[in-house]
Amino acid sequence: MNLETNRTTQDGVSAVAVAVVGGMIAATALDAQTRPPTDLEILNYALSLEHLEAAFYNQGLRQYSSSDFAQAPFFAKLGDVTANEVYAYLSLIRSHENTHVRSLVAALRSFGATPVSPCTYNFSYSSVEDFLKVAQTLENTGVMAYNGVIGMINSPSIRTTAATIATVEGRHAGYLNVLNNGLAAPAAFDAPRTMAEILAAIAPFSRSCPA
Amino acid sequence: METTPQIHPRSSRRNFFTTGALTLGIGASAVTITGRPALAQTAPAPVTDIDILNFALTLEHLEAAFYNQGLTRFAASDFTGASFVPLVGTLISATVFDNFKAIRDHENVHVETLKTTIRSLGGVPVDPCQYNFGYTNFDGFVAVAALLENTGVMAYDGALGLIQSPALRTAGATIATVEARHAAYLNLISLTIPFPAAFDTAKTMQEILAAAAPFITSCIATPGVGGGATTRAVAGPKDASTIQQFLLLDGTASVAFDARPLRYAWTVLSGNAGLTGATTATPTAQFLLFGPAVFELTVTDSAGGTAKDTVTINYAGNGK
Repeated sequence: MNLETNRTTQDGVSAVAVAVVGGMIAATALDAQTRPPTDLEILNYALSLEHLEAAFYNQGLRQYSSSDFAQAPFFAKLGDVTANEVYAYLSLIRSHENTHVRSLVAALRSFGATPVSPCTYNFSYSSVEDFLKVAQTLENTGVMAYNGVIGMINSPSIRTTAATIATVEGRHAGYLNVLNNGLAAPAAFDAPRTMAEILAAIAPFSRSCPA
Repeated sequence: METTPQIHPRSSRRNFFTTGALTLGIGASAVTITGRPALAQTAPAPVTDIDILNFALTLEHLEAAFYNQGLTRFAASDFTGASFVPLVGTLISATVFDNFKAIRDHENVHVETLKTTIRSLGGVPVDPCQYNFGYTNFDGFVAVAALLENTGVMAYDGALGLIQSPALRTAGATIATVEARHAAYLNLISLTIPFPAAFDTAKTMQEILAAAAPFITSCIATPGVGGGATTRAVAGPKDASTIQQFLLLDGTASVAFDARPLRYAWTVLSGNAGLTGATTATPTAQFLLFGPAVFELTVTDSAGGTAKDTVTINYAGNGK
């Protein structure tokens, strides 16, 4: 693992996340469909979630510094080692989400499809602790989202890629559960959720999505 | 522009995921599961969903046995007194025992669920093996736990592309992300990065079985029978009290993890004897002189995994 590499790539991605020009329309339109989604539709659905996550961390870690985290009350309940890691680990999660966005955009383009653009978002947190709660919600939602669509992906290689993202979202979710005073893994099986369920769950975070 | 604070390694364990499977194990073991790159003469049939479920069950048996043993051996005080506790603070240390109990329960549920599923599809679930996890204290237990869970993630990520049934893919995914949560948690309390990369690594069944092999001492309890994670060799006859100068050896009781044909290779390890048909399941041994001879059977399964067993036969003359 090489965090220097992560830092370099993530700086290059920030400009992408700031350029808000698209929407989640393609994924939303699937609600009314009865046929199973195509692999490319699933990739665009995943991209819409990764846009959301990337924007969340890009905003939040711009808004809060490591000293803001250090002053948060929960910080006192962490030991020196884990406390000092919190900001670095959140920055690493941000880097992963931006990498997922970039990879999905590249994959969709390579298949001749048009990647969905990010929406504008409203995450409505007002403290470091709120931010961590929203992060926990988003990551656990991401796990349920990937688990809900992996079975429908026809291409074995796309399925493998989705699985290797899903388990990383699972790792993020486990970590954020612990920071929020929960069990890393609350059940023996994570719950798969349908696209419609996930889109309804994340709707409150999206202020506007360009048509 | 925001900057990413650096994470400094405090533990040599940070690197063990790249090398650990081969260095952390038990050392010499009766079990050998090794990759065989030169298997290409006949393309193996694609693995079935039942094969993949049994592969997953092999790993879940290993994990379940690991936690069942460890949580019997260690008391709650071992968890609260662990060396990492002062470093992680009360928020995390207060729930270490609870997290381990939850992880143990999850692995046991995975075992039972996979067995039920395999049976419902008309398959035969593999049995658990005998294990030696090689830790000597609580810190070692945590290190092995982290290794097993991270291996489990790579195993499921590798297998999900191979599963044919959409419903089984979903089931596999919902286990995979739980293994990932376990892995992240165990990395965290091992003071290493919970999510080391933007993508987890998908590994082949063969790579995973090789990584698991150091923890497996034998797969069935019968003395003199060797075995791999699920592929096992059984060399016979075990009872050769009345042998002739020419004797038929028998490897047909050997078992392949995927129930596909095995390849057989017999050798004479010691003694004055020869073999005819040494690459068949039932070669003929010919004793050249009186005295004991040791024959070794190596079976190779469709994934290139191997298992060995030996049989010792004492030739004391015709009619004995």
